[in-house]
This record gives sequence, structure tokens and C-alpha cells, in this order.
Amino acid sequence: MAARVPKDKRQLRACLICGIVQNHHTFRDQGCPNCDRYIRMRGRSDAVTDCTSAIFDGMTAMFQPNGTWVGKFAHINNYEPGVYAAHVTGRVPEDVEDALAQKGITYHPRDGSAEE
Amino acid sequence: MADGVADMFDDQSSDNNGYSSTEDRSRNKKPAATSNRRRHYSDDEDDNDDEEIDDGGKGGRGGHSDSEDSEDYEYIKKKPVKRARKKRARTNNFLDIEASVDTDEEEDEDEDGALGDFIVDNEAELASAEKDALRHRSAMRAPAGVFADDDEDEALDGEALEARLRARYSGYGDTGRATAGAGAAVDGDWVPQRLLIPGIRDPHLWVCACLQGKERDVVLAAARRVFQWHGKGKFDGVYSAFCRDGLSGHVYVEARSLAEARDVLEGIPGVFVSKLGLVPLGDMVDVVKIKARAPRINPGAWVRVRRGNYSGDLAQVVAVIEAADSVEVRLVPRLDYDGSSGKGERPTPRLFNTDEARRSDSRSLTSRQNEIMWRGDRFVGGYLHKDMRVAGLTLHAAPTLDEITKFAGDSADGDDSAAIAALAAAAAAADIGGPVVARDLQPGDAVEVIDGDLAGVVGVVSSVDGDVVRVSSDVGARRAAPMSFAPRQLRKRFAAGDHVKVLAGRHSGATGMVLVASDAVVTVHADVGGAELRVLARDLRVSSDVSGAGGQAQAIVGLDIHDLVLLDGGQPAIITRIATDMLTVLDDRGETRTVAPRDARPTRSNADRAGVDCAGAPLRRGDTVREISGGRREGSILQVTRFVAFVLPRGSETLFVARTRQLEPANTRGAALAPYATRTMRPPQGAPRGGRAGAMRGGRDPLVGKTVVANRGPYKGYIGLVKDTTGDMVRVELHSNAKMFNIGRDKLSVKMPNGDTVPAADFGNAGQMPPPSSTDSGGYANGNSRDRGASGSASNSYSAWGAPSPAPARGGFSDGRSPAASGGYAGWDARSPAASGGGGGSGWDARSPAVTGGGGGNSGWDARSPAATGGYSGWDTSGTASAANAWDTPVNTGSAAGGWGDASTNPTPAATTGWDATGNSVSTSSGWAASPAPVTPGALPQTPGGPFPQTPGSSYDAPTPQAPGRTEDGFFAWAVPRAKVVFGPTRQHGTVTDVSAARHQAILRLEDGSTMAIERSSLSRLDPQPLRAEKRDRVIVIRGSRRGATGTMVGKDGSEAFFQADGDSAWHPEPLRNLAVYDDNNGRR
Repeated sequence: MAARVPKDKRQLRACLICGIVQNHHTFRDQGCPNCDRYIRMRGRSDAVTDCTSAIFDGMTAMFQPNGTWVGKFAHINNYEPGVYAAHVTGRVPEDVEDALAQKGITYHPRDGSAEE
Repeated sequence: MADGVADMFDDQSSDNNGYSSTEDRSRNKKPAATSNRRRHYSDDEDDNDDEEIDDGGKGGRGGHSDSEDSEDYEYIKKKPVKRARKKRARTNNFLDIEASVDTDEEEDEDEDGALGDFIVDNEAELASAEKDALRHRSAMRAPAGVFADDDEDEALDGEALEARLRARYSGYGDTGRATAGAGAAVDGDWVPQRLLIPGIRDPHLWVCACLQGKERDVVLAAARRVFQWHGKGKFDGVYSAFCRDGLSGHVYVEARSLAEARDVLEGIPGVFVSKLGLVPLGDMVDVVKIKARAPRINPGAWVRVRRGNYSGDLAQVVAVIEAADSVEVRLVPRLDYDGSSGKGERPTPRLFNTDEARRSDSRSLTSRQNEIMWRGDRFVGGYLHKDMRVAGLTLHAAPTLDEITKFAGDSADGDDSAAIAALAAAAAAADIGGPVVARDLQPGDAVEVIDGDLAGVVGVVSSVDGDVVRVSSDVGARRAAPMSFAPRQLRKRFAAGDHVKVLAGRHSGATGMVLVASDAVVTVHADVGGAELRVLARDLRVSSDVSGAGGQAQAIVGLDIHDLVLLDGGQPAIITRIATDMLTVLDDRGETRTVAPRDARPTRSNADRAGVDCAGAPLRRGDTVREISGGRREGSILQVTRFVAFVLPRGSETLFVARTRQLEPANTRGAALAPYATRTMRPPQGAPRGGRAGAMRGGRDPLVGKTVVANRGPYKGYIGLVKDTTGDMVRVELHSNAKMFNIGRDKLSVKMPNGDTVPAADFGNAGQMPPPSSTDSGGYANGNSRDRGASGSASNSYSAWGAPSPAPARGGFSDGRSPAASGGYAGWDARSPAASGGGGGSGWDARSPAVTGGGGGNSGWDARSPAATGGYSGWDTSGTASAANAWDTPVNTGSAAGGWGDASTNPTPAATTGWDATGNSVSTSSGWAASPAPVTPGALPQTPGGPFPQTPGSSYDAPTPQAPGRTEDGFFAWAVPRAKVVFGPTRQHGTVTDVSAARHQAILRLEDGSTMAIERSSLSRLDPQPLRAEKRDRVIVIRGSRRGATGTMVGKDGSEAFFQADGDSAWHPEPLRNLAVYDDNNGRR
């Protein structure tokens, strides 16, 4: 079972970059399945706090990234299957954003500020 | 699909190796590599499927799909170039350039040209290019450590790289799709949502009702169920399930068929599978899209704390901690440094005081740069910096300028304008200062954009349409088309010299000229009064109005709401409203009228007016009264004239008018009020008062000024002084720490000077009790027999005479314990008719009925007393001659019934005199008997005098009078007219107006204008002492060679004072104890 579904609703946090919803300890212990290769959260509680938010709206359980219109609409169809938030309050810290940009990654905030 | 999950890390072979630390890589390498390979084969199929579906779905949109198609075509034909593009895409992994699928060829060409060195035709060059890029990236790597490291690339040889790249890009040529390709694991493309309209080939969206609040649980449960079965041929047609906070009670499932959707949800608690329905295609976007956004909060914004110690306090946002949905605010701290504030009351807001904190708890005080930590709180510049959840704050507090000034407080070292400016500047971008509502703005208003991209632009409002303000500005001398703004983005702009009108706030209605228009705060020179007003820009409007007299009524004529004015013809009225140019008043007939300010004449000296109520007692402003008829409305008097009172009912805003004669005090309990009381009783200070009957009534509670002890409640056992009373409540000031508290009357006992206590509820009830003037009356009224002998004497008789009710007097007299008292007291009640000389006899007579009810002897005694009194001036006669005679008489006539005349019980040798007869009271009178019995009036001084025993007890045991010598040396030895003395249990002040050392009698005039007598019998109780002088006091020498001399005390040295006699420039040393304060006015005022 690879997709990480939060075991309970305690301390749910959503990644500010990809929006995946996990328990805080999951982020800490296993990192973000999508973003951890850029933003190391595994084992870094402060990074988890910085790059995830407890305030999010909407929970989308994406089972098959291929073929899902909902996932495509939410820009999560390139990510791992899992539970994602539709709207995450907050932005990553500026240094993280800068670093992402340096890696050639455009950061799309999921707080609704970049509404098309 | 279990593999497929891991396969989402399509880049893992490269990226994970590239960006992860060594140990990560070594741990992950193997499985990642294997899964990758497997993934690519299966993925290609998926992609093909997707493409078909997508193409079908997007078929209608020509431009988009066309370009996509042509791209696809190109991908196949020019593979190496495309690879290079993919390479670049990898480099700019998240760039929107790549996301825009519909980029045309031309653009592609340009970019390719610009990045020409990346366009390579063979794999080796490609590999080296990537290596360079990676090296470059690693050099730019942020040192934060948050980011995965990648220093492994160098170690890879060309073959490995080639293999990796081949593996990575093998799929692209076939699918030709950049978006669906597994390469863009994070977000390789970012198609705008508006282009993502669902098509008929997309899975359907099913909506299902569920219990409110269970939505997330349902989604999670469905997710667990689906993932568990994934890859096992179940739920293959289910793509996602979701819920939205804004769509409570619903969950949605994206599935190919209804049956699959039902399968997913079936059995999950809280789901009503029977209510499963299809979401129409056109509604799908609305369901998925989230529009509502939490209100954003900016640093500098003013907020208000909702709960806790700082509830209601103004706070300023310092920083926003969005991820945790909390903000850092700064507050004026409410600190209790030393634990002095009581339970339930919070300390007043005050900037942090390091000294106090150090004094109170120095160990927890640490500082770091400009921050100070104390008891876990952080202080910067005196303000408390605190992280608070946004949920606990009221946003958009819209503080007034006053509040901001207070907030700025003393932080700016007195220069509050600087503080305000600083604060206003800080808040300029926030919701203060600017006009926050559109209705404040009018076309023509000059505004400045304070928020958004165009911040700083100045323009003029051209139109206001709802919440959209259109502003035309001339940026760069070019008249631009009007731009639309939200009101909060704008701030009114004023220039010095503008004539403005204040629209809101404290100065509302005022007009004036702008002096200074710095940021949000504008200084206005008022047209009327010339004051400088500081007003927020949003509260101003350019106006040519000049505020009329009405608008400035408060400033011009000093009128205020609830002021008493006289209308034309002298009719009194009270102002109920002040509007521009108009006053609304309530006149004495209860009619509400609107008058021009010039027709309302303000009255002078509001303070001293008083009417009289139904009982003749004075009514003053603030008194609580009740109508004696009609609606029996109750309220407190706002204004009162001789005839009418304007009363504000409690808890109401509507005034009513009442004739004063139709009012009664609402807080007195007894209804039986003496109708002839005319003046308010002063606070009784233990001195007898001459108010005659009913003197206690008229407002002042006899309890006021009494020392009381609490019997019950939290203050049980505490001793304090009664400061005020209202109905059943008594306000008491503690002796111990001057703390005030309120307590029910029934929980108090009055403490008598002799140590007894009397329940306060029984104390001094109007009409039943002796007048409040005497400290002893309570004790007397309660038949406290122990009180009789010495200290009680005065009061007893006083009450007998003065009180409207004889009842207590009778009690005392029939006890037979205090006849002496009556004599003495009545005597030195200087205000009694007897004391006044001529009409003495009648006076005594007049009062006698009151006493008659008492012991049988009284009437006789009284009736005869005038004869005896005649020869003596006023008080001199009082307790002595008259009494003696009086007592004699009853005895002689045999009318002194009861205890009085019971001379046989008197063990004293002087049984032959009338005094002795009175002294029959075994308990108290031994002292009397011991004193030389006066046979004639001439012997008066010796009679009831000083040797009066201090306590009944001592009088039993020691019939011997106290040494007369002490008395001689005492008060009468030094008392000189016009010397001020302090006396009595409350150390009251008085002035000696007359003294007869030979007779051991003196008259004092008290500060309240009344007089009292002091004689030997009362010396021990009153213990009069000269009022000690202070520097520069007028003094009189009371002892020594200069006795009688008056002058000034110019200084003192220890117990030695320097006395400068009147008309003498020299100073003379004089012992301090020889001086008393001299009363030039001889007690009069």
C-alpha cells in the first residue's frame, strides 16, 4: 500500500507546494511524497512547519492520477495518488520559494492567490 | 498500481540520485530503479489512452488542440530537438512556458535559439549539458539545508547517464505529451483552470449526501478502501473522491459509473448511498472550484482581541504567520507586576516597565537585543508581542484616533504626534486611515491609492458604484482612463489650506482648514474656537460649509446634553439632544421641544440647586427618587430646580419630569418620615447635634461615618468606616488598607466607642432611632446597659430630647441607670432652648412630652426644670442646676417613680440630695455620689463633673472620684477661647468659643457650625487636646508665660516651636505643646 492516507484526522497538514494532506508525523517521518526531493521535510520538523499548513479546505482523495478530471483541475494529476487539499492557506517561506526558483521550479501557491 | 505509486517518482532515477543525499540514495536506489522501469511500460499505455480521451474531450476547442496536435507531430519527427526541449523543460521544471501547451512554433524556435547550446544532436553532448546544468544548480543550491543535496552527478559516468536519460525520455517520443508524461512529477505543466472544462470523456462526478461534519471522514474512509483494493481489479473506474468545506453534507466521487461510485461509498458510516446522484457536466467546475478565501490580514492592521486578559484591547499586527493561521500582534501589556491587583480585575494597560519587572521577578527577566523576555512574554519597546490565532481576533478594528493615540501612549516620549504619525504610517497600508467604505467617498474627492500595484497614484474619484470606485488620474501628464479600485485601496487626500468638514468622530460636524495633511492623520484648524483638531483623513470631506452655532453648540455656549437651560420666560428645561443648530429639550411640563441654541439660556452654578421633596428634604442632583403617586417611577435626578426635577429612570434613556413635591427618596426604607426636616444631617462625628426632631432624616444615613465590623461574607471580621449607603448596601472603607467594598447592611455591625457592636440594620432607622449624631445612640436604643455609666450619658438624654420617638428614651430611663446622663447632656446641648437663655423654660417644657412617655419622674423633672435653669446661662445650667433641681423636685414630689427615686438602694453617703436620689441607679451612680453633692446651684461645678467614672465597673469598685487635679491640669487649664481642639473618638475638630475654668465648662463650636459643651463629666470621654500647629499656622499660646498670646508659628525644631507673636518681629521659642491652632473666625465660617 503505497499511497499514504492519513490514519486519523489529528494534526492534518497540507503541503504548501503540492497540497498533499498527511499527518504531521508522516511529513516528519517520511516527508512529502511529491516534494521531498526538492524540499527535504523528512526528519525536519521545522521544515514541515514551514512548508505545510494546518489550514486547508477541501479534501480530494485521488486514486488514479491518470484520467481524473478532478485531479487535473486541481493540478495534482502529476502527483502521487493520495489525499490532497484543494486550497491551502499560506505560502512557503520566501527563501524556500527562492530556492525552488533556482531549481527551475515555479511555485504555484495553493492559497488561491494565483487564481487563473 | 502499488508500483505505479512509487512510479510517480519518475524522476527518481535521476532526481533522487541527483538531489538526495548519499544515504537517501543508497537506500532508495534499487527499488526506485526497478519500479521505474516497470512503470514506463505500463505508463505508456496509460498515456495513450489518456490522449485519446483528452483529444475527444477537447475536440471542440480548435486552437488548443490544433497546436497540441501539431506539437505531437513534431515530437515524433524531430526527436533530438524535442529531447533538448525536454531537457530544458527539466531544467526549468516549473516554468509556465512549458505549461502553456499551446505555444506556437515561432516561440519555440526563439527559445531554442536562445538556448542553442542545449540543443544537441547526440546523447553524449546532451549528457554533458545536463551535467553542466546540474553542476550549475548545485552551485546555486541554497545553503539552508532544507533542500536535498545533489553532488553525485560527477560520479556517474557517461554510460550510466545515457542509460538514465534514455530511460527517462523513452516515453516521450511515443506519447508526445509533455503534460501527462511521467517526467513532470511535481507540476510539469500548469494549465489554467479555465481551460480545464470537463468533457464527456472524463469520468462522471457523483454527489452523495452524508452527515454534516463527516465529509472528511468519508473521504478518508473511501480513500483507504480504494487504495487497499487498488491494482486488484476493483475500483478501477474510480478516480477520486472529495469533499469541500463549503459544501457541507456532500461528498463527491469521480467514477465512470454509478455502480462504482456506490461501491466506493457503500457501508461507510455517515453516507446515505441512496442519495447518490450525478453532477451535471456544467456544474462540475463549480463543485470543484473553491472561491471563498479567508480574509487576509496585513502587518500593521489594527485588530481587537476577543477573549482573555486582553479582551477588547486594541492590537496591531506585527507579522502574519500564515501557515499556522496566527499572527504576531503587539499590545499594551496588562501586567500585574507584584500581584497587587485583586482577583477578577485585570491590570490597567501600561507599557512594560523593566524596573518594576526586575523588582518583582528579576530572575525571569532576560533581554536580547531590543527584546525583553519576562515571565515568558516578549516585550519590544514596551509593547507585548504575542502570537495569537486569527480566530481569536476581530479584524478590521477601525480604531479611533483617540485609541491610537492611547495605544501610542507614552512610547514616543511625550511627542505623541510623532507616535501617531509612526503608527499611522505603519497602518497606512492596513485598514485604518483610508476610507474603508465606499459611501465615504464622493465623486470629486481627491484620493491616493495606498494598496495594490498602483499604490502611490493620486487621482480624483470620478464615480462610485457600489464597492467599486473609479478613479481618474493623470499619471505622467497623460489623462488615463478611469481605473477601478476597492474603497479600501484608497485614502482621501487633502492639501494644506483645504476647507474641510469632519464627518465622524469626536469632532463630528466641525469645519476648518487643513493645516497639515500627513499620512492618515490630518490636522485641522477649526473655524470655531480655533482649536487644532486631529482627524483621520477618512473622516474628512472637502466642504465650503462653515459649521453654524448649532453644530458647535458644545464649543460655543458650553451646552452639553442633560444641561439645564432656561427657555424664554425662564421656563426650565433639560437638553436631551444637541443637533446642528438645534437643541432638543424637555421642558418642565414634560414636553419635548426643539429650540434654537440662542433661545436656551444656560443656567449658572448647576451644583447648588436643590428642591425639596414631599417630606421637605432636599433633593439634589444624583439623588435616587421615586414618585409618590402616579406611576411611581423611579430614577436618579439629572437636574433639579425648586419645583421640578428631571429624572432619568434606571436603565432607560427617556427622561421624565416630576414636581419635586411629588418625589420621595427611593433609598430610604422607613416610610414614616418626619415632615418637618429641613436640612440634611451632616455626618455625625460622635458629637451631639441640635437638629431637633427628625434631624436624622433628609438623606444622610446615620450609618455614614460609623466604624463598623462585618459579620458575614468575605470581609467577615474586618473593621472599616462607612463611606456611603444606598438602600441596603453600604460602602465601607477598610481600616487596614483603605480598600473600599460594598456590603449588605444586614451584614454589618456598628462598633461603639466602648467596644460594643450593634447590628447596622437596627442602627439609626429613621423615626425609630435616636439621632445619628451620637455614637452611643445605637447602644442606647438597644438597651445596652453597660453603656450607661459614662460615655453613654450624653447621648441618652439627647435622644430623649431630640428624638421624635420617646421609645428609646423610656427604655433608658426606666432602667434607671442613666438619669445622670440626661441631666448632663441636656445641659450642655447648647442649642436647646434652655441653653439659649431666655426661653429656656418653655424649651424644656416643650420637650418634656417626648420624654414623658418614659419614667414617671421625667415629666415632673422637666416641667420644673425651667425654674432652676433660669439663673444660668444656657448650657451652664443644663445638666447641673436644672437637673439637680429637677431631680430634687421629683423626689420631693414623689413623682420620681421607679428606679430614680429609689434612694434606699443607693449605698452612697450623699443620699440626702436630689442627686443622690437620682443616683439611685446602683450601677452607675456611685461616682456621683462620691462627688460633693450640690445643694445649691452654685455648687454646680462639682456636681456631675469630671470624676465621673470611666466605666461602670470602676464606679462599682472605686466610688472615689478620679483625682480632680488631673482635670484641673487638663482641658480647662489650658483651654482658651479660639483655640482649636481635637476631641472625641473620631478626633473631631472644634474651636473653643467660651471657657470657664472655674466651672469646668467650655463651649466648642464644631466645624459644621453646631456647638457643644464640654464639662468635667465628658472630659474623659472626649479627651480634648489642643490642635497641634504646623508651620505657618496661626496659633495661640495655651500654656506658659505667654498664655493667650496669638501669633504665627514660624517653624519648629523637634518639640520646640518658634512663635512669632502678632505685631512682633522676633521669634520666641515655645514648646510645641504650648501652642494650639488659633481660629480667627472663632468657629464661624
